[in-house]
Amino acid sequence: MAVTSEAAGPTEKWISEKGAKYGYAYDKGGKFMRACGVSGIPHAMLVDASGKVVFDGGPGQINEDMVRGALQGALKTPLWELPKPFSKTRGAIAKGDLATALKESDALHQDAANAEAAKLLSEAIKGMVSGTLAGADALAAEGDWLGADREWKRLLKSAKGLPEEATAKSKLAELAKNPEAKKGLKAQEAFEKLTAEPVKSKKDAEERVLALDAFLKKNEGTFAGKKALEMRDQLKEAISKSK
Amino acid sequence: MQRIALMLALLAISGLATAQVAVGSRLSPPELEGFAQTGAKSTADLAGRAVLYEFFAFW
Repeated sequence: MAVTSEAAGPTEKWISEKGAKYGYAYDKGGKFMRACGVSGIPHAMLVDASGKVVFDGGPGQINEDMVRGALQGALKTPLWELPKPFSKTRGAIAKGDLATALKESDALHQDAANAEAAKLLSEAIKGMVSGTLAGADALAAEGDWLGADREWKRLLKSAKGLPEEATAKSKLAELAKNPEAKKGLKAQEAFEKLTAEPVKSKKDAEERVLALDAFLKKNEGTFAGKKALEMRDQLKEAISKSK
Repeated sequence: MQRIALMLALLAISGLATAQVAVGSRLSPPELEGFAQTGAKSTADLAGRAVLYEFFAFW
């Protein structure tokens, strides 16, 4: 999916002139691009079937193994191409209600005309649920407690009645009893707030460096502190290059 | 040429200064619009599929 924050008119003209056949969409105001920390174009991000980012960088660096890994457990047919009996499953997936999606898909296993596709779809949905849980655990292992917290909470809604819901509940209870994790999570929330606004000028960038310096004094050694340090140094380098 | 250099510098600064989505983290479906040359109408339609997002611009 190609993404641009350019205006529609010139983009359509450019796509037509180049004869590009790929799907594309607009990122109005560049919000998505900023959230991804894109600092140069072209830039690519590969996301696997569970929604986990498996690559972020120059498009030329993506290799076959990365693509093969990302495709594991992925739906073979896009949601909009599934036949009518799958409409309830499709709607539930689009809403992020994976437990209902699985229930609806499982119900089609007895439907001879759709059994094969339904079985594949059920496996893909199970992969999305287990992938979310595994992704949350991996984030927690790295000290990204905010990311893990969000994923476990997401499972409480998306996996209602499935074993993963109980696991997510238990992980959230553990987090609530872990003072170090709670401190790290609060630091990450503060870091998100600090960096929420886009930098539009060199002056903004210089002010952001000062704010990051102040943040670092309070949060050194935490996951957010490491991110802040990395961001501050890269920002300083970008400012010096823009002189 | 100077405009392009300034745009690139601002892009670099802007991208670095906001919280970033990292490899290993989960990407919340982005709010994109005007889907073209695909059957998807929103990023929710891409659920369950591996997706390669490629950011592009022209000037």
